[in-house]
Amino acid sequence: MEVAKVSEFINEKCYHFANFLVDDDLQASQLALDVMQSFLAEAPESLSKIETDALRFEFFKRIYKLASVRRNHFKVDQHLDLSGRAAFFLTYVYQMPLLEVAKITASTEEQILAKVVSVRNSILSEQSKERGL
Amino acid sequence: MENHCVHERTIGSNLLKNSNLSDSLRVHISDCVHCQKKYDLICHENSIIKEEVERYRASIDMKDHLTREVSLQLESYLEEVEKVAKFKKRYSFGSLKENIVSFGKGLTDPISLFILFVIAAFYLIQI
Repeated sequence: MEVAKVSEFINEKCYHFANFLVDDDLQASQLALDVMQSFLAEAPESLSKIETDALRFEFFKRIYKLASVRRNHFKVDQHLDLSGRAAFFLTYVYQMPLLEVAKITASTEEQILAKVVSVRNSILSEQSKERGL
Repeated sequence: MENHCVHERTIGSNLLKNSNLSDSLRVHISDCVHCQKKYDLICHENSIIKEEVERYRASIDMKDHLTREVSLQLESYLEEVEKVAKFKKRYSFGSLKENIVSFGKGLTDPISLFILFVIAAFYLIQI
């Protein structure tokens, strides 16, 4: 198991996804570390295959699930559409296949597309408000 | 009523999915005013979104913190694995050595020899 590779994946991918989901850097780092710990407890040898798509899919799935649970627990912004944000990020930023995103967020492919457009539009409208356009 | 081009939708769909445009569509965009307008608008929107998404990346401090935590957890796990492996190896070899020594000691001890003799005698009488 290469510590540097796992560390890079947690830094670059997991934290980025978690932070986009919950919009809180401390909670996001905790989410990423907790998911890694869950892998260490259950299947530590799998971490040596960190570059495989299957493992990455499992990481994102667990981060999304944990964020959904902690959303109520930690009372993060209740207006955040977690499944929409997850769908948008994984589809638009990581360009994950729709079928996989649908599995992660437990939605249909049509719902994913609708969510992606909706989150995209909401980001654009927020940005235009901020920029005073 | 505003005029539209039939390719606008394809351009929009491709750019929304963040996928690349085909060469033929690129040539068309350079010739069509409507498509050019649409293309510029979506590119502008995409750049805004990219900026927004980049905001969620880990800061240098956070990267340091995460790297430290991950290294700490993984190294402690690897140390633990190594310890267990060493212990297992030592335990299996140690117990074998211990048993052989205790068996040897038992043969030299007069009380044990006497007990062994009595048991053997009892067994032989029964036969």
